[in-house]
Amino acid sequence: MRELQADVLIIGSGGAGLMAAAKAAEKGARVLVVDKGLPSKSGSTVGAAGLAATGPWSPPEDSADMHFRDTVVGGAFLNDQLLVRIMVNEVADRVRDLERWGMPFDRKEDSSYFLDIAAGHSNPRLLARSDRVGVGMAKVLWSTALRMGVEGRGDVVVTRLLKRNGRVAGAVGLDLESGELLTMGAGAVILATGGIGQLYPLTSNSVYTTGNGLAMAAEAGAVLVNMEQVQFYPECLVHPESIRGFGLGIAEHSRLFNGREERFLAKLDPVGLEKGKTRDIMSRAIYGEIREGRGSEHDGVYLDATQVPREVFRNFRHEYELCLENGIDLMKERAEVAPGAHYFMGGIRIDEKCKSSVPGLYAAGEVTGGVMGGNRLSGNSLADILVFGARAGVYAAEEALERGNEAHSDLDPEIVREEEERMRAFLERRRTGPRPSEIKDRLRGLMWERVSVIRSEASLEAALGELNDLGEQLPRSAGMGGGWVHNRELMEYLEADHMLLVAEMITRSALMRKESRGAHFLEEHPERRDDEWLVNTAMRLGPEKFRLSAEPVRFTEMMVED
Amino acid sequence: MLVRIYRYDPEGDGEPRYGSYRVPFEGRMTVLDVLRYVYRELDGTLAFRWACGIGKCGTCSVRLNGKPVLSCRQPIDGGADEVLIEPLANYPVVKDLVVDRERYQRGLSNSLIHLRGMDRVPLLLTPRLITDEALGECIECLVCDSGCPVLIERLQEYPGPSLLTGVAGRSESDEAPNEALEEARFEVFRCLQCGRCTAACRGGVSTDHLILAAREGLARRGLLPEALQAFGETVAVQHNVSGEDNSGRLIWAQNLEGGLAVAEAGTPLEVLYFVGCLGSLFPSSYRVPQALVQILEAAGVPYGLMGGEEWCCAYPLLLGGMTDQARELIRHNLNAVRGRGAPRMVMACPSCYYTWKELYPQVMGEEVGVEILHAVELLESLVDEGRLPLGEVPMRVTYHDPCDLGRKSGIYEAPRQVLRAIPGVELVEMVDNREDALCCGGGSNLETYDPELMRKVAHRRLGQALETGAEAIITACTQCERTLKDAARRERAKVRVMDVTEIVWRAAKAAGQDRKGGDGEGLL
Repeated sequence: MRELQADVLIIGSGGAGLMAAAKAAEKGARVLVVDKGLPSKSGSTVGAAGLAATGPWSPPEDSADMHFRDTVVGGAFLNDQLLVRIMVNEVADRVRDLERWGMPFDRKEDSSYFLDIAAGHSNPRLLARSDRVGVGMAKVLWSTALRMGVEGRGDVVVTRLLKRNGRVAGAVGLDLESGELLTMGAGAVILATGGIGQLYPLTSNSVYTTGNGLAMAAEAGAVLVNMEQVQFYPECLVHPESIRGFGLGIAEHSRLFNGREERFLAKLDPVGLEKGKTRDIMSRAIYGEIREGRGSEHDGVYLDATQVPREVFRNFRHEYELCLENGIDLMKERAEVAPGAHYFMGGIRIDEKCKSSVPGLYAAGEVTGGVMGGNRLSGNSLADILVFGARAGVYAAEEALERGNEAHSDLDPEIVREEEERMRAFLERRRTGPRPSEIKDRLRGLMWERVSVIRSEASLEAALGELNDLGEQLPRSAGMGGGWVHNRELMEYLEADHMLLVAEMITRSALMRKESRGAHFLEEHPERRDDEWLVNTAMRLGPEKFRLSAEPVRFTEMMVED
Repeated sequence: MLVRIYRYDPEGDGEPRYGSYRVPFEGRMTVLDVLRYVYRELDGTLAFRWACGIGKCGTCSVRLNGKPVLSCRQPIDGGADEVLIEPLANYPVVKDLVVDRERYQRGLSNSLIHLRGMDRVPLLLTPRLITDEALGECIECLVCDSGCPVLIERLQEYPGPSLLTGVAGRSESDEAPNEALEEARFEVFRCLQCGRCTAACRGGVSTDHLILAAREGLARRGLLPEALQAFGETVAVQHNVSGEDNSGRLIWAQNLEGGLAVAEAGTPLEVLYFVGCLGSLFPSSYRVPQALVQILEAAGVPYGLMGGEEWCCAYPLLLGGMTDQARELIRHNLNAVRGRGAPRMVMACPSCYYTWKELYPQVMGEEVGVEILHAVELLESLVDEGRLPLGEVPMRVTYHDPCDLGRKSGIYEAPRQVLRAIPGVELVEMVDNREDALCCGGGSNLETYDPELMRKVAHRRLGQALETGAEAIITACTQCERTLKDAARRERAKVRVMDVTEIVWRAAKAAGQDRKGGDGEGLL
């Protein structure tokens, strides 16, 4: 067992975690960032294509107020408006931080910023670097954090948060590289673990997005909100297998056809067709076609970008090349796409300082709920991680430095022992039950069937039963005999445990919301019901396990009728 | 398909081994698909990395059949019976295919690279080299480091291409003094400019060009290492790399049987032969121009030479960042060549060739206006057209691809075609050939700057050549020939090293082409 100590411990090293790290270090805190995979590489940030921000680069008709309005309308009024206001107001400053640290955004020939347009945004608003803005951001943030003295450790699978006197004061996990258990003590802990894409069989997210932070926060007693809100990116490749799940950005400019060669969006909007539809609407339309047997060869629909002008493809260079290598020339032929899990709007409830409901625990980025409401607009995720990553870093550092260093060897020794026992038992079991990867597969299958784009009360109830079965199988699961070092099966076992808990929280929250709003669509209640359901679903784990309640949404600026 | 995978378990007996796995090949599979299949279906203890699966995170790199690749973007050749997957080279293995990237992370955190991510290089003297295209997008996959012939010899000191790309990322106009560049300056000049990193990069980063730009930045700040400063001054003043009187550029022709058959003034030239500094002024390299002019004469090609009017092509200056001085030499050469009125130029030196063909237009912003051929291209056409009958030379040979001719200029097959056209020649390939060829160590002024390092690289390449069992290493570069010959001599290796012009001339003589009647043996 090894012990590490820091002022601020950050779990997760995508954009939110690294921004937090840089800002906390700037405040003078000793910062430790850990990640399940390689630092800066394993989250969703590297895959991101655009950053929504208004600033001096914006056209005169755009403003932070417009950005606010678009975000709240797009989010089906479920957004925490106080947080949205902070995001739209502060993102320009964070863009300037990035540029100061070396981030180049695409400019036009006259050196003004290139701004992309996207559904739900009333103006061109997305800063870009071809379609690889996330790659550049992750690189700039990581090298900046390192330069500021941040300690970064990859290959650390954090499994539980640790407390002292009711405050979160550290975490325990497995160091894959040494094969040792690692306890980390800190004055404050920031969760920046990202989303849950791996709960579904088709996802645009990285292999590491298993919702660990959500599970750990819930186990530590934090309130999570709107857990039913899972965003599907409507146009993810279903074929070929090598790049299954890859979300096509060119979709914004493309036409969709079902297996019968119909522009099926015409049923919804005969004039506008695919234009300007947010992701929730597009996903339901596509999912509906597939479910009704009008899909394409590989259970998707056809995306046709052959009419898209060549100069538009220049903004999708990586995407075009990747598809071409995999046998699809998007300029000449159609691709097969379906909705893939892309972004999680639900998550840890935070205040404007990124504090969760548990003392000592902060959160930022996709692991939090509230900012995006019921649907996230494209580009808003990078805005979110920059703004709230920075805030989490600053406020967590302030709190940690105020509290000073405390020894942590006494941190929840019971939990640490439990975790070690659990891992050891897994390693010692020999083929008594399914492999962790098989449990994950079954979980993904049932989540797609029952808890995805279109849900029903019956499907959700059935899902709970099946999740329960899987939960009973997991303690019997076994691997093929690896040791402690870089044992992927052990990591998958630890992930599956968290995934089952998160899946259940999603399903239970979905059962609670008896309406359709944002990404949540319930067949029995296909309408939005503002009279009764303009509320957050709030989930908390207690002695009686899941406790759900309706909490008011903060309407600080804008009501539905505005 | 049989897949062999490198396995190492630090908790086991400490011995690496290779695991063999049968993988059903379906349509199209990437290396990552294969690894996922092995893990899921055959062996759950396999350790390997990946995160995004779409070429953006840069964590899944491995070596496929010895070549560093990004596994999610590397298709497997469906026709192969067997493939070999190993961890990246030049990084310590933690387990199986997982390597420890600490060296790179340390480099990122020290001041050397605090310009990392600053992916733009405006205001340099070679702006045409450093376009947005050249910058590409580094995803830190470290594939470049895995193939670097310098890094493998200097793991403790050399930053490797991955980190050196960042060194170039500062503009002249930045207010802060570029401490990182100053700190890195001694290593920046150890890059061989072999282009292996650039060829392997999936992000489109022209690392070799970025390093040139970094050198230029150093030169402009007066931060060149002393040896290179002195060397550059010699070239700039004497107009050649040897420092001798430039009027002696035709000394190699003095002992030529029958003298030179240079076309008379006024005769229309078919080709102007730009000999290059090594062939002109280094006695050990005289054989190359001697062979080439005799070939030209035997084939009846009216050719011209420039003697003292030929100045160094300026590549050594460009490699040393001394772009201003290089421009003077280039201007002179352009004027001199255009004055001769030949439609074509030929060079046996790939560095001259690459510089004339690729760098002159970029540095000067104008076209050369003369067709530029490497000797192997001319030889190939002479053989093809039947202008140069070749007799038997029974010899097992291997061909060493010069970096400036192969990776930098894309010429791989012409020299091989010529060798195959010689009756009796058996051509065998080294393990790293064509675009994967290892540098001989003689690139980029390293002979001047760090001869010890050059010898280490040469030793490694010589080893690959000896493994083939060839009697002779044939190359198409005067500098490669020198470097490999030196390595062979030091190791007392039983292998001959010669230029392709030399073996072709020998074959031509065997076919009775030495019409002047001399036996020519003294020359070859």
